Order: sequence, then structure tokens, then C-alpha cells
Amino acid sequence: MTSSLERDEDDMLSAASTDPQAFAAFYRRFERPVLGFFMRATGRADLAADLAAETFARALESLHAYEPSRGRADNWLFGIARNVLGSSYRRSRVEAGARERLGMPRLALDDHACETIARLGDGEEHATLALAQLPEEQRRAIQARVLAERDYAEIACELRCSEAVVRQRVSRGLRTLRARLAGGR
Amino acid sequence: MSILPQLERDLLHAAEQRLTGARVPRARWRRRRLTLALALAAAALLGAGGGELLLSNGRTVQPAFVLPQSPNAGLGRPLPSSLRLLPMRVADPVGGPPWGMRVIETSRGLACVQGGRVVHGQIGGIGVGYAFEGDGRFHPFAAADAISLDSCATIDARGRAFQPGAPAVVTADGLPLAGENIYPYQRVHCDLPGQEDWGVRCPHDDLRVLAIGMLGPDAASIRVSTPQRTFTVKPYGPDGAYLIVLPAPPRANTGPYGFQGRAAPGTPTLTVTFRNGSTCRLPTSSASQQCRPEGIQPASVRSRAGAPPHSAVHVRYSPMASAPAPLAVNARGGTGSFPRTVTAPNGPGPALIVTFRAPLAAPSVSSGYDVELEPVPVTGCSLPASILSQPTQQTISAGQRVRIAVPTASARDGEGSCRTAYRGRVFFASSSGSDSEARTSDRAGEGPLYEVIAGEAARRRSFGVTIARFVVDVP
Repeated sequence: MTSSLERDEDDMLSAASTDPQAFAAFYRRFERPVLGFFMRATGRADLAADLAAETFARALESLHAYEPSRGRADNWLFGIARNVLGSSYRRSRVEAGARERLGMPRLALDDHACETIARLGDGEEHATLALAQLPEEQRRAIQARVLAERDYAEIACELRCSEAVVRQRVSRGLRTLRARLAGGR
Repeated sequence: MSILPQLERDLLHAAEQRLTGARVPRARWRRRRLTLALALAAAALLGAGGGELLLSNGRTVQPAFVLPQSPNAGLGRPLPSSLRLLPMRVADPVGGPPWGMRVIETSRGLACVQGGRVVHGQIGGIGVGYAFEGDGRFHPFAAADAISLDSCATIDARGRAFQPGAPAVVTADGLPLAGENIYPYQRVHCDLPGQEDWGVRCPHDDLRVLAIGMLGPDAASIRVSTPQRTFTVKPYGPDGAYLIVLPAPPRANTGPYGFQGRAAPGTPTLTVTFRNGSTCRLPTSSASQQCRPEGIQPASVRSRAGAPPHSAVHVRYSPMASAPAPLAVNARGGTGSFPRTVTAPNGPGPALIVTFRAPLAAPSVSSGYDVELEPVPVTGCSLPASILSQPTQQTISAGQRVRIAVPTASARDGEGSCRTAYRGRVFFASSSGSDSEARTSDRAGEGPLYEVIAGEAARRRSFGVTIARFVVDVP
């Protein structure tokens, strides 16, 4: 059960091996999620930017290894992101090998970019808090569908209910979250 | 519009170059070489004035990676009370501030050595040569710069650590001694022996040979041999600390030297003598001459009331759980390959969730719990021989509840369904020594914990203290 948006992302990545503009589009699509991921992991905007840059550089280097039949583009990219984060933790420094190999210059960050990246982490904290306050069944459904981006069928199997019920829980939970994050009840 | 338009442009440019097959220049990561006149002027200034008083502080060398917020996770956090600037000062052969060293301990049982130039009681680097744009200022090192698995050693039962460092060619700015936790482009700004990162070799005048380390309380003396002379250094205090600074030998930074451990002719060798009369050498390629941690006592592990450690274990299968990629997956037949049936999921996937009460404390980075799984073979299924989870990476008290998630073989990646049973073992493991030892030693139990466990598993050796076994069916 793959949505058209997911197909677009997979297609974008498949096309990137022959079309540089497709890779740029892929970057724009995932820039914020990847920066947010690293911001939450490190708590520092400059590190998040550096880790994101290395992640996309590695993705560019590894385009030939991407096979849509083996998994979705976002899973593939976040797999690389986790590897970059993990190896950087292990080495206690941000990996830069892919950027060096590609001849990419060091990233210069201005205050505006730092603030924007930092906000990606802040927003998540509020959302996490609001999510934790949801009823258990809604929270689990949202975590599985929205955060882990899994298929409804898969979630229904795990939660031992029908797909329709999962959709309902996700829908209700998101409605509550939107209201709370907007300052409503 | 993207948040980092420069990154988008750089990626687009790199993608275009890859497509056209254009050769990618690495020059962009190189630093602009300072004019020789400026470098010489700074060096002359430092040398002529005795250095210290002329230097104002520049920016601190910040760590590249933040340490974990919790003092009980990962490598831990530096303990401010442990920070010790050792009293020895070694004059630089050319001039300027003296060299010194300090020891930093972490909340997870590591001791890290940091060297550098000493100004006003601080350790740091100086802006000469290619470093810090040659600003002639002093740049203090942060304690966190030194915290990394590569440059720290495990603290023993008496608070000592063994970290034998062989003579190495470094730049006079002191930057190579800050530690492993700084950005690569901050580390040095020209190529040292064995490096080809910047495209500009460090000039010979900017080089020194330096040896720094800790040999433990039983080290009695260090004989330093160069082609010109031989002299003896007494290690300092119960750490057995030493710091030796000499001019770099001629041709230290030319030709093949530095690659694969080849030192330039004239590089000094150290012969260490311990109180029991045994000796070792730094560096050495001979196993019999390697330095061993004499007088270092690994922290012992005891269960409560002296009973054999054991714990009741609860195991649950989840078809979709978040589990870190396995530490190691061993294929059947001893090929050592990684079968595709166990992916490193990096995302939700099938896993066994193992929970138990810890019978033993795991107080440091060198101790932890791990789970080993052995799937029962099934005809037609490409199952691995064993799967090893990542060891725990947080401080664990005896009696604390521990949860470890281990990815299992995934039917999605294999050839059809592979319903089978898994035999499992929960074990406690500990290691001693440092990463630098692990590279030169084949003795069991030495090196970072994850390397030790993975190494033993690759040799098909049962390792650690088994605290529970289980068998579980996996659909």
C-alpha cells in the first residue's frame, strides 16, 4: 500500500542517477525532516547541518545502490542518516569523508539558518509532549503511521484491528494534536 | 526555498560532476596557505619573546561532537574534578610556550590524555604555520576535545589507565594533541606523514616528534634513542605519565614515511623498563616487545553474595520494533559474510525484545550486557548462524531492569517465510585496555567493548558471563 507521494519520492531518487536536478528536488523534499532528525539527536544546529550535509553527500555517492524494490526512498535516506549519526558518535566527530570525496566545501551557516534549524527541534518537542498526552490507542497509531511511516495494513496487523480502525485512530489523534498545538484544548 | 541553499547548490554541482564524470578536485577542503613571511614572523615572535606573555587568547577549539546529555550513557561526560594538568613542562626545540599534558576522566570510566602548548596554566594550540590562519594567538583546548574511544583508555580498579603512545610527527602548533573529538579541518591544516588531505605538506620547520602517554604506576624509566644521542626519562607519578618533544628528523614528511606505520629514518624509539625488570618498546612490530599494562588492575566483576550471576529473562517477539542494527551477524559455514536475510534495519523491523534484571552492575563504558541469537536452521531459508545485538551503552546498577532489542531474520528480505526457533543467550561482558592496544594486540578482552565482543563472536568463541538462556519460536 504505497501512496502517490511515496512513489514520487522513490521516482525522484531513481531519476537522480541521471538527472542532477532530480537529486536537488530530492534534497529539498527531505531537507527539513533530516535536519529535524539531527537537531533532535544532537541539540545543536551547526552539528545538525553538518550531519545533514554528510548524509546527503553519502546519498549522492550511493545512488547506484538504491533499489526501489528493496524499500522506500525515505527509509533508505534515514538509514544513511542513522549510519552517519552512529559513526559520528562512535568516532566522536562528524564524519566528512563523502563531502571531501565529492569536493564539497565546508558549510557556512548564518544566524538565520541556525535559528530555523533549531526551531525544527523545538517544534518536535512540543509535538512529542502533545503526542504523549493522547490516548494510548491513538498515540500508537500515530507513531506507527505518521512517525514511522508504515503502511496501514502492517499497523492493523500489529495492533490486531482493522485498517479502518487504524485510520480512524490516526485521524482523531491528529485532529486533537492540531487543536492542542494551535493553543486549543 | 531550502534552509541551506549553499548545500543544495553544492549537491547539485557534485551531482552534475558525477554525471559528466568530471574529476572532483579536493582542493576546496584545503586551507589557503599562509605566506611564508607571516609564518616565520609569528614563529620568530614566539621564539624571541619566550612566548607566553606575548600570546593573547583566541577562540577555544570546540569539540566536533556533543557528548551525551546523560553522564550515564555512551562515553560519559568529562568530570571537572578529574581534570589534572600534570606539572611537567617540556621546552620546544625552536621556542615558544612549553609543551604540557593533562588527564581528563569521564563519568563512564575513561581516562583521556590531552597534550599541547601551555599558556597561563591552560593547554591549547597556537596560531602558527597553517593553524588558526596564523593569528599568533593561543587557542585553548576544551576538555571534551579529548573524549573519544580512540584516544581514551579504561580506568582500572585503582584509578590508573594504560595508554602507551609511540613517538609521532606532529605540528608545532599543538593541534594534533587536542584529541579525536575535533573537526578534521581543525586538526591540522597541512599534511603530516601518512596524510594526503590538504594537498600541502607541512613544512619541516613546523614539525616536531612527540611522544605522550601513560604507562601506569609500575613504569620505572624510558630510554629515548635517536641517531644522535640516548637519554633516559623518568615517568611522572602514579600515572607513569611521559611527554617527550624533539626536533623532527630530516625528511620526516617526505616520501613514503608515515604510511603503514613506516617511520622516517631518525625517528626515536622508546624502551620502557618496568619495576619488575621487564622491558618493552614503542613503537615495535614484534609481539614480544609490545608494551603490556604492568601494574594495571582491571576492575573485577562480582555478583551479589558471590553467587553465580543469573537472571530470569522475558523474551517477546515483535514483528515491527525499533532495534539498532546488530553488532555482528555471522553466516553459516564460517564465511563471515553478512547474509541479506538479516538487514541492519535502521528502522522498525522484526525483533526479539529481551528484558531482565541485571545481576551485575555495568558501571563503565567497558562493561555491558549483550544478547546472542542462534536461529535453528530451516531447509530453504538462508538464516545466519548467529546474530549479536549491540551491547548496552549506559550505566547499569545491579538489580536494574534492562531491555535489549535484537533484530531477527526478516522474511521480507529472504526467500519466503522462515518460521523457526531462536536459541538465545544473555551475557555480561567487560573489556580492558585501550583502542590503541586493540590494534596491536590479539589478547582476549582488550579494546573497546563492542570490538572485543564482535572479535570473539567472529572467532566463534563463547564470551562473557552467561546470565540466562532461552528458546523462543518466531513466526
